[in-house]
Amino acid sequence: MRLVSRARIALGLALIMAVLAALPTAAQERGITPTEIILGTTAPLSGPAAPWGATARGVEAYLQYINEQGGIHGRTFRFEIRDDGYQPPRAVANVRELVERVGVFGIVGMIGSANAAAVRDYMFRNEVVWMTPAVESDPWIGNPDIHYLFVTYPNYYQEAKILARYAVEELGLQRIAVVYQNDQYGMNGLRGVRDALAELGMAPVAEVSYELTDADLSVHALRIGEARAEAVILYATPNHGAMAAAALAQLNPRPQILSSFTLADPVMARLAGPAWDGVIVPSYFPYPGTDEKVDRVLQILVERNPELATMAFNALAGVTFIEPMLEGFRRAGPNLTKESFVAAMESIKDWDGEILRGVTFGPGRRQGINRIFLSRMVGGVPERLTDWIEYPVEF
Amino acid sequence: MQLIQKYEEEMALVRGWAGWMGVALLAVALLGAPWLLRGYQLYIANIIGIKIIVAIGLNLLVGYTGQISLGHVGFVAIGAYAATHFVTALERAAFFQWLGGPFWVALLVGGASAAVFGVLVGLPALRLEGPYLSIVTLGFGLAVQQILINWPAVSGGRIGLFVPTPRIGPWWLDTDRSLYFLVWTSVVLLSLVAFNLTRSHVGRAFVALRDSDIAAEVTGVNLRYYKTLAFAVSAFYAGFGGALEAYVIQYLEPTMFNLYESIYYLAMVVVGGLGTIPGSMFGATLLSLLQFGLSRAQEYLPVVYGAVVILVMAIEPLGLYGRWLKIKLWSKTWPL
Repeated sequence: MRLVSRARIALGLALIMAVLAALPTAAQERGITPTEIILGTTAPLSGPAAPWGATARGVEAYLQYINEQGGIHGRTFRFEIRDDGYQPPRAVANVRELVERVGVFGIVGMIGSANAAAVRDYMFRNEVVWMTPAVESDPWIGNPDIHYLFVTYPNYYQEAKILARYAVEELGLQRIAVVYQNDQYGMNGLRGVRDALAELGMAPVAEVSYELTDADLSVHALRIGEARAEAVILYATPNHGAMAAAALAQLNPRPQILSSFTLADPVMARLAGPAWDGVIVPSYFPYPGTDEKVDRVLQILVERNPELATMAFNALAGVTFIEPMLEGFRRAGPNLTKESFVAAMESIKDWDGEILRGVTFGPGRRQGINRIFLSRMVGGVPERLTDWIEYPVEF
Repeated sequence: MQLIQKYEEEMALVRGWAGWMGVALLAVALLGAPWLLRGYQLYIANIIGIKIIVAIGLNLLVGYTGQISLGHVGFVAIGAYAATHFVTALERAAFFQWLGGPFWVALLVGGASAAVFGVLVGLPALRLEGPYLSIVTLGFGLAVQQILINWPAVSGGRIGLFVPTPRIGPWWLDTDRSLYFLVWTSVVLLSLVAFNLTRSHVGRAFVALRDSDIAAEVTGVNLRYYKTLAFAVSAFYAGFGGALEAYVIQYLEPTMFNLYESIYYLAMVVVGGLGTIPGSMFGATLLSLLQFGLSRAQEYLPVVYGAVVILVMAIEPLGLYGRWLKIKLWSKTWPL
């Protein structure tokens, strides 16, 4: 008897819990009204990584343009930006405020491995739509919780493999070295180079790491010189990349630099001067000045926020975060829900946007792009070297 | 005005009906908060509680003992990592299962390990003063961060460490509300400890050291003992706060413990009021609220933040608590 009544209580409690859990979904979908879609992001607008905050400004300007065109299916966009100063505790607070108080439909982008890692579980637990956190791919590969995550950001590891193979097979160089930032980003690059060279029966002749706090990389360059490296693969921030290039240019013979796409912005030519000439850099979308559509978008962005003129690549990268999402909204139609959005995203096959080209998602596929192309920088102007180079889809 | 007749009355923590009313209001506010605030607001309340604990510890060192520390975040980091490793390693040990999970022991372990380093940093403080001591502590803070970055076995490197959810017996502290009770119980307890410490002979020894260490030594204060004790106590608070921070954020990464954070802690203590416990609370609350509240101000945050600090210092050199005392005095003597 006692057992039965206890079971009844448990059942009653379970029912109440189920009703409570069902309530929020029965109400309107978070972040969607008949006239508006609310999106948000947290970005480093102050602090050491502030230049990367331009991606958020790019998104903002582009959404402003979309709103001027009347929005999508009668809904305009509200975009809430919060500053996290590149600090995980503040990123967590910002994302939670955006989700719980502002009530955003999704989070667009996010800069910094640590910040993304700090909010990851929260995002998955609360099933928040998340477009392209600008971080390495490892956390997503084999992860069963990424149903609401869509990524159109290259994989550092695969990119590094492509760079190493290109140096050996196309440029015919034998002595490959790596200069990398001592963090997730740099370590992914290092791993890629090691693995690609191992497949060719080789190994890096030098692996030189630096810290974000380092203000001079000439000693690092000397170690590259001692190893008599013919090519250096570079995983660095813009400032450190410029310092490294300037220091490596002093070596005789001067090694060929191949850099991560994160240094594809033409601003590098201004930071590093002639030392950046001849550097080989990948990109995952066409450069401004080489493609009409990209130029048009850049013009749209700069008209709405003139500051973005000096940060063209970063601002356009911001557009690549939001562009596939907008296509998802278009395809989902006027009856927008989170699930109809996901279904619409999964229907995107080999889709060309204004900036991004060849985006494919699908059930079980969240990695939207899997190709890059290489260019050689001459006086800040890219000369295209290769066609698209594909790499495996992993998540 | 109140007439004080006995020494106990002078030493009392709470004085008169106004004091008790204040305490009662504060208690109601603290107990009511978890039902009034929503998820992320509770999270912010938790972070503020942690900052208060660290700020109180720093104030014991800077405000009471007059020893400067520019690397306090190093102690916070040590506490956070020590507690996390302790709890991860011992999670399955039967003894701790019986105690209801090792997490509250881990908080003490976090504090204690930081205290050990506090003593180590305190030793050179015996010979160094002012700018020289600042540089030693600054170096300590930077060194801790660099060591963590380059020692992945301890820090998880730049991948970071995910912190297990704490539990007491069968209760998992996995909601903001349960963490709120954990954090704010700690704040109340550690504040009481700090209050009592400052009213005891230890607190008076600290103040004597600050005002003149030679005079203090002549009157029988053991310089070596009390200076290192001040560092140890202060570091304990920082380590305890770090351990709590690990539980609240559930993720640790070395860049969280950078020089800026140390400066922020120092700013909290100075803005709130040097050498006062409530001052640390005011300062930590104000500056944290500014940081979170102004995340919309975006790139202007550092300017606004700096302006507020300068403004408070210009108007009220004794800090927020100094202003509070003046208001209190004014209200007592009103309408004179």
